[in-house]
Amino acid sequence: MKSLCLAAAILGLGTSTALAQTDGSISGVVREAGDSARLVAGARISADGGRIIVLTNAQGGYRLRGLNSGWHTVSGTAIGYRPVLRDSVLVRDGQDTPLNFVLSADPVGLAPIEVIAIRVDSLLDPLAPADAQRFTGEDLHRMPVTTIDEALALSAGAVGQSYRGGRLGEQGTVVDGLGIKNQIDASTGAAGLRLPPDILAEGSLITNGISARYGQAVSALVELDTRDGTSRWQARTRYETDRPLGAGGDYGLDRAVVSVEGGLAKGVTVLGVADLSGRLDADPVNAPTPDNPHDPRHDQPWLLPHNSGQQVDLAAKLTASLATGMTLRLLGVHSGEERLLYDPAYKYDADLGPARRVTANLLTAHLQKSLLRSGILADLRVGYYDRQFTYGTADQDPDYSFGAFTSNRLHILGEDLARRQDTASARAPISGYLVPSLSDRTPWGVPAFFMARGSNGTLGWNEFRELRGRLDLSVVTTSNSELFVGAEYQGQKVQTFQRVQAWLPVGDSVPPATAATFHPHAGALYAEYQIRGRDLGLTAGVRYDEFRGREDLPGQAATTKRAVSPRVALSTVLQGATLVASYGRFQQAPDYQYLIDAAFDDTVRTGRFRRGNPDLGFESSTQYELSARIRPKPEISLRVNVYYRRLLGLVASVPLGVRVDSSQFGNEDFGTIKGVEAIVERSMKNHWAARVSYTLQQAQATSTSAFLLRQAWSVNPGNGDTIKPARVEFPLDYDRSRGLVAMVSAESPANLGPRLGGLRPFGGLQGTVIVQVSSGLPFSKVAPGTDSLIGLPNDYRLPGTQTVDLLLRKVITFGSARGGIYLDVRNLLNHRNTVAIRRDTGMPEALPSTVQQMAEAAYTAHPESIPYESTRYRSWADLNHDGYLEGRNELFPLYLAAAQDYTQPLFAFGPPRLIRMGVEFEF
Amino acid sequence: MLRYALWPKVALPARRARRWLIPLLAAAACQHSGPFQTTAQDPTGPRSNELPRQVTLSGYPDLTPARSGSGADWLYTYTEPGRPGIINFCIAGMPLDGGGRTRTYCDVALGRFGLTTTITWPAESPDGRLAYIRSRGVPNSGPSYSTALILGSFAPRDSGRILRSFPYRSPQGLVRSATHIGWLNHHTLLFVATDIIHPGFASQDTAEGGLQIERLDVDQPSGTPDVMPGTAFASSVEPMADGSGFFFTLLGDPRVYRRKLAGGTTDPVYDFGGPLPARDVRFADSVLYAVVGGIIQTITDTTDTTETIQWDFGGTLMRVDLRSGLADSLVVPGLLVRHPALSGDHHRLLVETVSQTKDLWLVEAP
Repeated sequence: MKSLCLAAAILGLGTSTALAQTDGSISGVVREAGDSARLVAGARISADGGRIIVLTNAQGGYRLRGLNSGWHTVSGTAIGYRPVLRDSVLVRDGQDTPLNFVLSADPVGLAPIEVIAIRVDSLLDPLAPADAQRFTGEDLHRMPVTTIDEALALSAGAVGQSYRGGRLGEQGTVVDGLGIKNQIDASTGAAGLRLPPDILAEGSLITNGISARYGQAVSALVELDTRDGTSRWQARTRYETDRPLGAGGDYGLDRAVVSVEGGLAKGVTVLGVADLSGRLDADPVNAPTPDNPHDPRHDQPWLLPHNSGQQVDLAAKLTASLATGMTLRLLGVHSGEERLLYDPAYKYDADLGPARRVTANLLTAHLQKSLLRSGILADLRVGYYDRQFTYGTADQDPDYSFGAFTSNRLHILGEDLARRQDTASARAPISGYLVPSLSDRTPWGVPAFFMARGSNGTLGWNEFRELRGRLDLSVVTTSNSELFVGAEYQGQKVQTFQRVQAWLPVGDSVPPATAATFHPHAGALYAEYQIRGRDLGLTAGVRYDEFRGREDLPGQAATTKRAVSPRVALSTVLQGATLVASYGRFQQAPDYQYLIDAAFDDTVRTGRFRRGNPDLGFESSTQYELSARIRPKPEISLRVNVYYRRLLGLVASVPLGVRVDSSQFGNEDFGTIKGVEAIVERSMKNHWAARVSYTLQQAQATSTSAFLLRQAWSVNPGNGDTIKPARVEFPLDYDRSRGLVAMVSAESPANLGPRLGGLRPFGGLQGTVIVQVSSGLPFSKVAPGTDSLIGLPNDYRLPGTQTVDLLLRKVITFGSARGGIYLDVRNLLNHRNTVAIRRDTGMPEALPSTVQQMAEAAYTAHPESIPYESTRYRSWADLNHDGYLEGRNELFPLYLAAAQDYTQPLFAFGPPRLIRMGVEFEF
Repeated sequence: MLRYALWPKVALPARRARRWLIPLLAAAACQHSGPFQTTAQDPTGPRSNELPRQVTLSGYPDLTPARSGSGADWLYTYTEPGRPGIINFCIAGMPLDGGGRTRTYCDVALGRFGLTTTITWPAESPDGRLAYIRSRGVPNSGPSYSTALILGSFAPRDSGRILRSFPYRSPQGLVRSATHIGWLNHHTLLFVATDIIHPGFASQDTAEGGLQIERLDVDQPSGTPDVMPGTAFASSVEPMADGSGFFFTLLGDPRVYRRKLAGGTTDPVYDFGGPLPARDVRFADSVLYAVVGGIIQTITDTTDTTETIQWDFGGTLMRVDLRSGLADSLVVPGLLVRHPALSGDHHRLLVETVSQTKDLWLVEAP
């Protein structure tokens, strides 16, 4: 039975109630054994050794709330009855686990009866309006995924971190009930905080029926719950690498994970996890090998230089039962990432290439109090989150001490100045930045395309800090209804700095450094009511949000923005199927980067500057969804979701006046997303399980990015008429119209097969295969040599992609310890997926004529001869061996080869086959 | 690459647990393969074995050769064409036998603004500190707007520390630059302080001649050089190997002098005789080298004071064995030479030739 539950968990099966989505609950009735089956009032039901206790009501009913996702121990006792102890009761976020007790009369006080595991199936529960796609920390362990983000990306409707076609950053993330969001640039940058999978109890992606408890999202809610440490001391270590694969398969990967947990004192447990990974090529590509034997990738096509990175993710959690019904949880998470960023222009002089560092910290405290008599469950949460981003030029190559791990912190030139936001000093060239010059280290020698001595001279830094607090109250109003109310406040601080062409003084062609510091704040109130009948559940909630952005600009004070978001879900059971209809309005404050002036360099046509708008309002969406769930067989479930979402007020660039370069961010974009998702799951039976999801959707809006210029209303200066722009919607960047994810998991019994040398080689094998087949994402095509669009934006589509990932594990036990070896293969078939193209050709490659033109232009710029003592001299190209490379005969082939090298597509292709081998121990 | 051991094929009871560590340790012990190399190309070797031979072929000037601090290669100034109309002078290393540049140092930061940067007279200490003259100005338009004696290195991002900015006033006149820079000892530079005149049409030519020899302590924060007595209108200087003094030549004087710092005495070492002065002195193992004869033009600076400087268009490289008194010439056929540098093994000299392209030649010192 336990394995069945575990298998169900592996496949991410489960649905949930809309309410209190960060916690789960257990409810049921307590009866007396025997024919009378009398309901027992006043019985004491406690979870986890008394951490939460409730008494049954007059009808023998109870409800344990505020339970973390995971396994719990629940006991039922009443005076005169023999206690019953239920071990391993699985609780999932937002889900109510039914658990009834039957107590036997016990006048002599026998020992408790212990029941080991409780099977959970709430697929058909009408109280679960939200459609959550779940996975647990154990799931991650059994799947060929490494991070929580990778697991989320397997959800129906997900494309990387875009959900249901939305822009990046439209999702909210909740860690242990407290939201975190990189509010500066969520649409263009990651949160920076990564929970190590080993501390994860459960993660879920919720795309509908989102509780009014949560805001800061318009497309989805990512909910992550950490687990509490166990009272027994135990540890798990894991090391994985691709070192043994040698040339061609070795991408410089090393990853080590250590987790330790145990009890410090009675009722106090601690859990710590360190997850460290390093890669010499952190972003490998499956690009074709170049034909030219002088191209270094011809012989070594697998690893890219100056593309290494390391990640350090640390997490610790302390859980303490302060008193009966009162629990304190303290969580600390630190994530650090350092990356060298491969740039084709600098690949032959990568010493001073671009680099990035992102660090994030999260500290939360959660005090939970169960008021036994009043039936109120109170949760007080306080959290501090900060994220710091630095981009610039690394002052030296990392000192690799083990694989890609470095012992020295990456130092980025000018970061101290950026952190001080010293725009005055930044008017001078920033120390250490050099004017790039044309490289002489290329195989081709000629001065063309490839740069040396430095990076692109951009120095960027920003920091976001947030102190957030919230109070949630859950009140049992009647035996079949509950009320949830709460409030949240966020005090924030935003600091930014940006300087371009840092090797030059600020002047005519070099804009001054920009910096901003401001203190936004936001708040929310919510109330939600749930009432349940026999086959009917109704959830109705309303959420009030407000935020105030920049207040530091004289004469441009922001006004407080307010929004009200109603959310309703109605669910019922009809002929064995559960139908859920939900409606919700969702709001999120815009990225604060749009409150600040932005200078960038993406195209010559649409300008390079956007004026920040300190008065931006909420971005919002309204979603209607109909879900049907059915379980045709005990082990098979089917879910179908049909949804329609209207986007409104998303940030876009709108012109100001007639100058193309004069534009401002505004809440001008709108769009429509509609689609169908079907998810079929088979829980583990006869040693195999499966999950298949299919998505068919269309996501469109008037602007695919906040930085793309969108025409807004204007006034005809001649007649004063208002001119409305055409309401044409284009496919969004992440509009993947069709996607299929199939996952099959199997395991063999531990005693399977013959015993050879004391080992059963076929016993205890676990394997999971994930197949993903998707249609291509849209892209815009431009006329060659220009940036004039051909057709409408995103009018073309990339070819479809497909990958097969595999994880094989052999579980081995020895003594009291347990361990395993595993093989993790991504893109098993080494399929070359095209993930980007050149906008001028619609292919990854440049046209031969384009390459020829580039070579001609470069040769024309530098037709001078190259003497043999020059570092640009290549003896193999000196056809007449006169000590000079001169004339078109000798020089032009070098320029042509350089152009071919420079234009070779690398990041147009997805990752190649990546294999890692691992060893793990648990003790 | 250490290949991976096979995974264990047998059960792992407790007593065999250590076998688990074998693949783990083996895996960790493997070295990762690396990305393709982005280091500099291997330099090409010499084009021939004949001596004397031309070792730079560029169509632009190659100037001011010097021995590197380690003696393992030569240093010289080469011309780096930049954007049209901009030519920068950079420093390079060259193998002792000639060949491709082994290392380079350029400062092209101002090329974007249409300015040229000239780095000349490299002098490298044994520990890699590099002293040089850096001038910045508008190409082909007369005086530089910024000239300084710099202490830096070959590191690409080392823009160096200014030891002394020019011009400054001295007893002989306004010092606008320096030549013949050498290390007297670990912390002291010796150089010829020079005046610069821009004669010719539109002042496009540059004539540079010595005013006196100066000594500068590179650790001294004030950057004030000492004028060496008795060196007025010096035309070249060569520190003695033991740092006890220096050899030097004077404007219009065919003699080579030696000055000892301890006693403050100056003695003539050798007199080449004749009407034309000796200059560009080099000395090692009792053998003296100097450029003698050739073409010299004297010019008077009328812009500031009226000092006269010696504009050198090259001469003949002479070699004198002071033990035997024998002198001979080391000829580069058909070319006048100047600014010789002596190799660390004292067997070869690298000289600047006065021709249209000002290439460097390698000359044997028998």
